Amino acid sequence: MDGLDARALLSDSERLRRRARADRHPSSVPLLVFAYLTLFGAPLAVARLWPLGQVYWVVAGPAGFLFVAWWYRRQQARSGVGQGRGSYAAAGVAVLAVLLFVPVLWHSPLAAVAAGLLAMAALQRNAYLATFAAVFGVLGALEDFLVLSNRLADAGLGGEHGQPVVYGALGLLLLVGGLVARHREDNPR
Amino acid sequence: MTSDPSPAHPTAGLRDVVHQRARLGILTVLGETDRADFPYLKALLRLTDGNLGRHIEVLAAEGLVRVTKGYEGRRPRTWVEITRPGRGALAAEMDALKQLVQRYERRHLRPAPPAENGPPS
Repeated sequence: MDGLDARALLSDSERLRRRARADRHPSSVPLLVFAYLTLFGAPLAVARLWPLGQVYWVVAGPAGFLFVAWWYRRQQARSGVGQGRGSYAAAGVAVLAVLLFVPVLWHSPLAAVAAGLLAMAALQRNAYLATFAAVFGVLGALEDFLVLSNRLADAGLGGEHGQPVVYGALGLLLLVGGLVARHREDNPR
Repeated sequence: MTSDPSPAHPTAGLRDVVHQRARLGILTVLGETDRADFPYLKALLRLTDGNLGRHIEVLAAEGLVRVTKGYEGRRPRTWVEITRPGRGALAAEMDALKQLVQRYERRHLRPAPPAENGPPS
């Protein structure tokens, strides 16, 4: 065996590893779930509907993460790749972690969702999901303090609907990320 | 008394059981997913039933993977799971391969010798 053979073997191994990782934890699922939740919740983010937007996220945030966990588990059973035994304990820990997020979700919903997505990305060693979660988290945290919608208002845009517009844009960001990920998962290299 | 100052060649770290391409593929996939079923491995690695079965037997005989049979609903499934020694063997193989690549690059991708001073005659 020489260096070129070794390089080819390492390259094959990396390709297999990426494929198995994507089959086990597709990035598209959390990105699309939270894209739809963010877009659906965007119209509730107006001052006169307070606290409906907060209540929405306290319910939708944990429900989104639980849905993603359920979907992964179902997918793993179907495709024949995954953790199997012992994962109920992990699911219990995940449920607890999600519930601990509830107070944060009330005050800073988008940042809390992004933190959950970042934790998921770290566990999966998923740089793609981490990138979208980080961008969503930074912009979402700014908007949780109305920084972006106030800028829009200063520019004469948005008005009362500034925050729904920003939420909508962030939802679209996740949607694009999810659709690109879905395309890549359907057409592996 | 003499001692050999040169470090062992990286191929010394390669283990035949693990090094074979299909078996390394099986361990790589399981190293990422913890476990996988027989049809998934067969499709991903593009192996026949017989081939995959033989490679898994070799790995199981060395204690690098564990095979369990069970049911998912009413459907019989054969699961292959990586063991702790299997993870260790995979990591050692990867290290040896990386060292081989580094050694190759050091020898073949050396910078060109500096040009001599003065214009060519």
